[in-house]
Amino acid sequence: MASAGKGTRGALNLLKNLPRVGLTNIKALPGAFTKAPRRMGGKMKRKCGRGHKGQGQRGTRPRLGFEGGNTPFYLRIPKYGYYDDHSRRRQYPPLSLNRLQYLIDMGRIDATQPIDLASLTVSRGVSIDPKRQHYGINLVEEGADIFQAKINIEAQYASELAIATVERNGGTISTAYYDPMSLLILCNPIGFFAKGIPIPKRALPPEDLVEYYTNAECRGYLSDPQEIQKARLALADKYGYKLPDLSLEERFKMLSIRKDPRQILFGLGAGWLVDMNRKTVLKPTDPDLLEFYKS
Amino acid sequence: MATSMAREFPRLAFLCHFRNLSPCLGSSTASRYSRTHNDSCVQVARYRAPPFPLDRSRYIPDKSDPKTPEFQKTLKFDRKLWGRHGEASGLDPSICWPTKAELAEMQEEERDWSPTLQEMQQSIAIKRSAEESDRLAREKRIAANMARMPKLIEQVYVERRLKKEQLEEAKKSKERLIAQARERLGYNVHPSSPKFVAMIEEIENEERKQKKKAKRAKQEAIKEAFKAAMATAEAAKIQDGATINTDIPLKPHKNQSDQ
Repeated sequence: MASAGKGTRGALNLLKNLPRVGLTNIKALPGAFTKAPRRMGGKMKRKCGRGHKGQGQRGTRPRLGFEGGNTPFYLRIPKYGYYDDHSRRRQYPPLSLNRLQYLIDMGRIDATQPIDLASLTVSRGVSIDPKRQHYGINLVEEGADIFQAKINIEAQYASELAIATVERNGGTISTAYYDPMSLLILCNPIGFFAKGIPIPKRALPPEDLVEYYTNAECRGYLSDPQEIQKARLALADKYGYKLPDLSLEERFKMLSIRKDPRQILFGLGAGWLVDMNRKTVLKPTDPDLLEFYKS
Repeated sequence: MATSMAREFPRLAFLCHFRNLSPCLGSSTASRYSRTHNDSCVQVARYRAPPFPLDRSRYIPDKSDPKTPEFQKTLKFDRKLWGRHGEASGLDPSICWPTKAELAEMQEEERDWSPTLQEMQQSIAIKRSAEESDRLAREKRIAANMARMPKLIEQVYVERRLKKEQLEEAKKSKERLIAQARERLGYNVHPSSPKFVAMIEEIENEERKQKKKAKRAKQEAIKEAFKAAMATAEAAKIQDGATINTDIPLKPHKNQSDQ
């Protein structure tokens, strides 16, 4: 802004240079649109939207699949075995490379920092609900041809081509397991801090996932780093690209950041307590607690 | 760059903030731009989720007041107060960590329910080796059975052929019987008629009688031969004074009689 000057003249100059009021920047006054609290009954005085009499009004409708006394279909033809246990299976909602590139292009995700589920959910890039058996994201290869970002991403499941695409661009990728409780904390850290309990340890993967997360080809977080280096070279060989040398990279430090296998959030260890008002961290000193929370 | 972004996505342009850096990373649109305009930039995320409503109401319950509900006097509520208001809650933060009893429970739970990585890897190795040995055993069994396969196939063909031959034989014998019946009675007889059945019985009886006769004749012949042999042996003994084997059974052996 140009120098405003002094006195009335200065004030006028200041006014001249201030941004103009336009349709694009006007906003309602605070409290202009507060909704009046709904009164009991409101507009629904008679039937309250539930219709006339019967199960609908009384909320006593029969259970799902009930056929009014007939043997229900799901019991009569019990041959649909592929739905067995469907409510307890682990779900990994997909995140495509296309979508990830879009989020980075829009500036909703900071590619200069490691990307994990916390940054993806806070940018509303993915919606993860651990209560619906979500165990994280599945990085799928859609958009592999246009993906150009150089990122350090942590997914829970990744296809081979997605891994190859990220690494071809000079990025790094790892797959990590979060137990439902850790996932809840990762997706909503503030809500967890407000509970006033220290950050717990991340659990180890269940036995059927140990093989995946100790496999270097899947870039598992429990695998040997040297094996991962070998697997990176092998994958570059397979897909025919030259693996960029990360040690010469400007952002080598950022690309090599990894969480501890027992750590949930970047920069915060297990057993730490976060004071959100002062933005400080409190650590335990009791030896029993230290022993319990160590990884 | 920023202008082109704003043109492409006018509603989201405010989210972006471009910092000039080099080299250009992380953006397809940005790198395309940098190639054409020889300029470089890095996009920095500016979007932040709305803040958590922490200080909307700072209510610290008075525990000595009898009107305060019980749940507000619990340790869990105190922890929540500290988590929400921090030091302003006036509580000691050490209450937030698990107590001795809670810690003991947590440790016990961990000991009982969460095996270490090494334990899990060991059990996986055991499972894998069992699967491997099962697979090998199965492959061995399949190989052995496959080795027997040509022989079994040949056997099946032989059995099939034999059965066919037997059937043909039966058919022929029946035809022969029918022909015999026509010869005897002088007219065509249905195989299920009582006359035919009676005739067959008759024929069978005759055959049986003949068989018996033949058998008896054979036995007689053998006896005769034995007697002759004895006689010659006696003669020889008288001549030479040598011993002879008298253990030869009088009755011929069953196999011999069948033949």
